[in-house]
Amino acid sequence: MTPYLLLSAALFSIGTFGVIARRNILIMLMALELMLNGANIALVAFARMHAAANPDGTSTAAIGQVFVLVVMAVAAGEVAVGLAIVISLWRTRRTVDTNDLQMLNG
Amino acid sequence: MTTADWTAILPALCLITAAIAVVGADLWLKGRQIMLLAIISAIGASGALGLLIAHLRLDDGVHVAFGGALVMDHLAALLGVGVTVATLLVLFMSTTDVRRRHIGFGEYFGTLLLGAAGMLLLLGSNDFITMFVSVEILSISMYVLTGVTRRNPRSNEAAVKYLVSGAFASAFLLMGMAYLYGVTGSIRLDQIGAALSTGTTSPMLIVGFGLLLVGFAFKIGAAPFHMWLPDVYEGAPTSTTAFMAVAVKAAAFGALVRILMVAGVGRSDLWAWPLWGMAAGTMVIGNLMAAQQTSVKRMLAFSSIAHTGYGLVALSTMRAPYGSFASEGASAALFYVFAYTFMTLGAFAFLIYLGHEVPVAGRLETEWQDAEHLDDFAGIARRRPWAALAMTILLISLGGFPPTVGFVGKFWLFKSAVDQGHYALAILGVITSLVSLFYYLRVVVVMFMKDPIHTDEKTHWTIGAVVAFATVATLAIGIWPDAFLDAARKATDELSAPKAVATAPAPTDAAPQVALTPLP
Repeated sequence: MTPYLLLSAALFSIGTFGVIARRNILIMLMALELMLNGANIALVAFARMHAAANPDGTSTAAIGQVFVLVVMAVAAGEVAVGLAIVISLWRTRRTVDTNDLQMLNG
Repeated sequence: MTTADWTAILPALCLITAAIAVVGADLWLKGRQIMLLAIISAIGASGALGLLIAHLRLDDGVHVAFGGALVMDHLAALLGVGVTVATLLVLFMSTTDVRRRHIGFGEYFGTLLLGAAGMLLLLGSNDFITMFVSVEILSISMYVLTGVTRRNPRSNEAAVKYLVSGAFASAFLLMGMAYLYGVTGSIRLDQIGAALSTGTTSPMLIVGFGLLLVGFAFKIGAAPFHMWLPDVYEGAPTSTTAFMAVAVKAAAFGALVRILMVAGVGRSDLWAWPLWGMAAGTMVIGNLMAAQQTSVKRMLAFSSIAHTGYGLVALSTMRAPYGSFASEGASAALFYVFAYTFMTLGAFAFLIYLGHEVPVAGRLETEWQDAEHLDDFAGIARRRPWAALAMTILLISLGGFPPTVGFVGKFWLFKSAVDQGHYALAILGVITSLVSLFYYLRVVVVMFMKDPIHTDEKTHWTIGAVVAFATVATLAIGIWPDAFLDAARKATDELSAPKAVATAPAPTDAAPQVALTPLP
């Protein structure tokens, strides 16, 4: 159990670091995917744990796996919209670097 | 599907059907006939509004649908009314605004309706899968609406910033949900609440609840997770900003109240003090930053952060300093969020009302520019006294003066804080409200006392009507708030009634209280 959770926490942390530290929007989007996948691994690991803890109560365990499938679909949708937004940014600004996004003073 | 299933999902279905119809019709009409598309959208939104009001009027208890995944109760109906009214008003003013900005009608209306559907689902969601999916439906729609003026670099920049911070917040939400599922073995809020109330404490529980709170703090724009909000609100087209400021906030607040009162009710030790800190920080930061802005649009963005802080005050005071629990704070927060819908929507609509055309550098065309700077408001009262009066009323309401709804809302907020013994928060709230008067009244002074600088604004009656409606609603609910206060109180009564959700078709598996044991 613990190795899976450590893996998931590590992926999530790497993703968080990537979003905060990197300045290229495409890499930030990849880091976001890492964060979601870290959470997915945690969900699957917990589903396995609950299945082992009560072998006859299948639906509590299955729900974690269903959740993961839903998250994958949602993440795909999010990336599709994200890339579209990045493309339209590129068309008007010719940049995908967050350091260049200074039009809104914040 | 049972009757309860239909009751819970029909309002959202109305909006989704209308969205599909609009996008499909747009395909045939090829960008003409904006009024027809607007009428289809309005029919869908009015249908949803009618169903929600019917639920409030019938008052026939909590409907638990889809095995506990979705519920329809007073919380979902009351804030749902706020969301659908906001949708209708934004639709109404965007018939003018969308044409001026050369946005595709079909995609604008369709995305708006889908976003609203996500909000209704979020307000009713009672398990983590529904909640996560509906958060994403509304967030993705809002990313699109923020960047919908594709040729405007500011709008693009705002969309990218919103996308990155919004997806970041969603990842935190998901990780929190995963940990809570790990600790309790369930994703249903009521089962999680039952499992947690036995008093388990594990590091994973604390981390999970913390991640969940961080995710929601991002979505509602609470300090210290508010950095994205002013930029996004400033860069987005103003009609989108108005929708974001009221509807997204209402939906996320409603979901947060549901989580705290259903899943976290026995464990206010986990969330009350973090919320206390966020409330204090958000009020101070929001108001101090708002006071420094010269752009009115940006000022309203910071003021929306400040108002989030007031809402959080009420939520954090559900737990008294000595540990007892009272749900008064939640009903005060719900009423405040509902009331906030009208005043903020009206104020943003006023910015569009005073918009004018400016030439685009290097091209032989003009683009639409809303009144954003303080100078744009100079001397408005001489030319348009009624509009200036309406804006004054809206600003006074935002500042919390009687006889407006802003006063009633703040009164209940601070009353709940004092009742529960949170004097420090109440005092801080009153002081920051006084600070807020400074920057709200500055706009009024500029409108009434300064000489005009621009006189080329192009008003349109649709937007004027939205401002007028918002103003009348602000005054009317301020003078007769009882029906809405009752609804807010009933909402929290239903949430804290132990058996609100147990009337559901009993799940085949009881939530097991599973200890963290290693896998074989």
